Amino acid sequence: MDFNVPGTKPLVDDEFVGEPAKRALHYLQSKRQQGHPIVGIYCGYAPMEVIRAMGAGVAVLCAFSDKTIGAAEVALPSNLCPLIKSSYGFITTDTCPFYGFSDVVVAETTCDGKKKMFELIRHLKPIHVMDLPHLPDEQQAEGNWSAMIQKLKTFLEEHLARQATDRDIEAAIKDTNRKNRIMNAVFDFAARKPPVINWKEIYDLTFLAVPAAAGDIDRLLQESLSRLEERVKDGIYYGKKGAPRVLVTGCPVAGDATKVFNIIEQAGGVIVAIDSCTGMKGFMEEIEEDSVDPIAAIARRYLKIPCACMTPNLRRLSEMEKWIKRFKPDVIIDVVLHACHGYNVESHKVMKHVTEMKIPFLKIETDYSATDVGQIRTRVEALFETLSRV
Amino acid sequence: MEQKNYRPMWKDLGLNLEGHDQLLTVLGNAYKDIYLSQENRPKAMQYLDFVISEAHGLRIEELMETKKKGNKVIGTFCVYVPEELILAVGGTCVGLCAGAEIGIDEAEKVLPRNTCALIKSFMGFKLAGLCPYIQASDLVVGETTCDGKKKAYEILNDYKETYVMEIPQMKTERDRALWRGEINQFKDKLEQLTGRKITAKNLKKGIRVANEKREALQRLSQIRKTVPSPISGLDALLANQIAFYDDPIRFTRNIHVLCDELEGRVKKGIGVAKNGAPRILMAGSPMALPNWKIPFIVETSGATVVAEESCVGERSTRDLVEETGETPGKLMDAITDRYMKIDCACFTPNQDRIEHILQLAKDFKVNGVIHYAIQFCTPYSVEAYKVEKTLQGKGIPCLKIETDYGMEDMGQLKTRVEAFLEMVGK
Repeated sequence: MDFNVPGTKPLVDDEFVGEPAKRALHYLQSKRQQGHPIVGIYCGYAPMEVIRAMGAGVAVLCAFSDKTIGAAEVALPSNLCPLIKSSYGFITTDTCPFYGFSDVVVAETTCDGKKKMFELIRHLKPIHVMDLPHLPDEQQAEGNWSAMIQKLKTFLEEHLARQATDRDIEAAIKDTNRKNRIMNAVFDFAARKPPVINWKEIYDLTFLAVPAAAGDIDRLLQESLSRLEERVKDGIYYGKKGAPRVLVTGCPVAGDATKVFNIIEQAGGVIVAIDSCTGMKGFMEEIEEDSVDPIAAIARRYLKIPCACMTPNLRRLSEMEKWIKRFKPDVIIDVVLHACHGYNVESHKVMKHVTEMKIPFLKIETDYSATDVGQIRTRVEALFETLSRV
Repeated sequence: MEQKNYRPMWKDLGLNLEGHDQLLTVLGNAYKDIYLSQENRPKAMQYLDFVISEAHGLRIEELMETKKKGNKVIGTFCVYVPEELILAVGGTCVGLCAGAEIGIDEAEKVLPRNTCALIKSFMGFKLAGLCPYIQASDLVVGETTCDGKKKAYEILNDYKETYVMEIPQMKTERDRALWRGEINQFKDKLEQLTGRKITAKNLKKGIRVANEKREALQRLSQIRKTVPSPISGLDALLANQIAFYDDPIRFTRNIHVLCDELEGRVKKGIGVAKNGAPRILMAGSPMALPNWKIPFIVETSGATVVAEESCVGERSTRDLVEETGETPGKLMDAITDRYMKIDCACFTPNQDRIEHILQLAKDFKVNGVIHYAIQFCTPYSVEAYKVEKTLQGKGIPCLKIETDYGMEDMGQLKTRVEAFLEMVGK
């Protein structure tokens, strides 16, 4: 699958095309060289504004390779989510450069597997575990999560020997909002029919834009936007006209799990929306600006993330309705990582909801190995075939 | 014994009568094979045999009677739900069916196949219409202990109102405050459901009843420290399982009768197994009624289970609620503190549990520990690594077992257990 005009330049046209991890690594290494401490994170609930307000760089830690799973299974059960096993294996084999240069790690109690895995790495490097409320609509939730963020701030101040004033935090909030607005402007090009951006380009951008401050990647973002506008002017679009538009939802997908994205494309589909923490999800909500209490504003924003760890998580469904209106998918594919009970169980509800909206739905449960590629391909092809018959 | 005809009651409760008949036949046979075939059982176990035989009959009839008087029946799945508050409003707290491979086809229509057997079981029991307890319940109370249950309650709520309590994941001051708030909300919920107020007086009484039940089970546990143990692990497990179903006051009285008999045995030096039988501690996931799989394998292989480090066992009976408070608020503080001590693997970090396992291993003079995790029970299966490492460091043999409710792996498990016991015996 390609652009209709041969030779269309990649959106982020640098030496790291198709290797977003290397680009992020380069970015963080330069931050370090400038004397900024680095804070490793595992999850979209890590309140990055507080970290950035401290003048620290955010490193998303390695979690997406099949290679490190064997080493992890020495300690972890084999029927555990591959993301958790991979993360742990990266640490025990000392192969994650992001972890290597992180001064501290921020973790949280999103799911059983991660929560318990963190216990096994706490002696290696300072790690701060945040207790995440699981009923975000409860009255106590905001206060509790605010308190956790406050505690994180204290932890960072102690370990990084830096301070963050309310003004610093407010500036970081505004920076995030600005970044999210630009990113959403980019996503609008995926919403076009046909799309003028492909999933690899979205992936290239989000991989860097999740951890980076807007101020650090302004030029890259602005250039991307103007390049997209030019593509529209030049009549450039991606994929065949009429190719099935796919909204991918569910667990984070990166590294070896992108096999699913590749299969979708090879079967003739175009991915127009990535509703996951490694995709577009983290850019969707703005944080209230100039509020009385910026930490509480941050708490409110993060509690709105419709992660399956929340219950009853009805926001997942209402947000999905918005995504459907915006990205106009023909099908929804729910990618669940093996033994991720949160997303796995929730899939039933998503299926029911989407089916009521008369949108074809496919659930794919997979891990990082290549063993199920053939089987997934058959299922995706069969799904697209049913579409063309309608 | 000729049983009364409960079919009209079961029909009224909306049970699937045909499936329910089959279930009772299967359970009856299993009970005969696993329990009644044991040698040298204490006489007082007849009480528990009777309770089991009437678990879906007389006990349900009692629940329907108490409901007629305007009292409520509250169904629960977890030892975090504070029974004291339910007792205070004149309610009955019952455990719901979750220990057998039942209605799996139904359950797997709404739940992934690779979900923990306990969760699939409660969903299966409900969807197949086979659990009279959930049918008789006025409210089901769930909790956010693990990912699987938390998400499954959302689906269960489509079939039966399920009120969810948020369990904190850590044990800081803030977490205690969260749990205190949840207890308060639960009190409001119960008051609203029953139209009755929780007072210092009725709450104190509720606490006493729950504490007395725990004290009786603590006494039973204490007796099992004797070498040789006068009671089988299966029988003691049954007592702990029935604690979730029976009337608490009657249950407490009968457990003391059992303990009297057992103390008599101890005086005479009567053990339930052969002299020198290896003593095993079971640690890990709960074994809900009628999940007897691993203790059955262990005890038919010549060992005795002497303690259960589990929610159906020590974890639910170890701590009492402090009874000195004079206001509902103070008493609820005490309830909060008691429940925050539970060392479920859903907490992080959970070092207390490891300490407790070491303590139990010592106090019960065990020869080995079997760590039991229900398949896909992530908290216990991940924590097993630390448990095993710590035990190994202390020279205590540990066998990690991960299994579901199915019988397919019985042969394989028996081979592993036998090999373990042989090693332990040396």
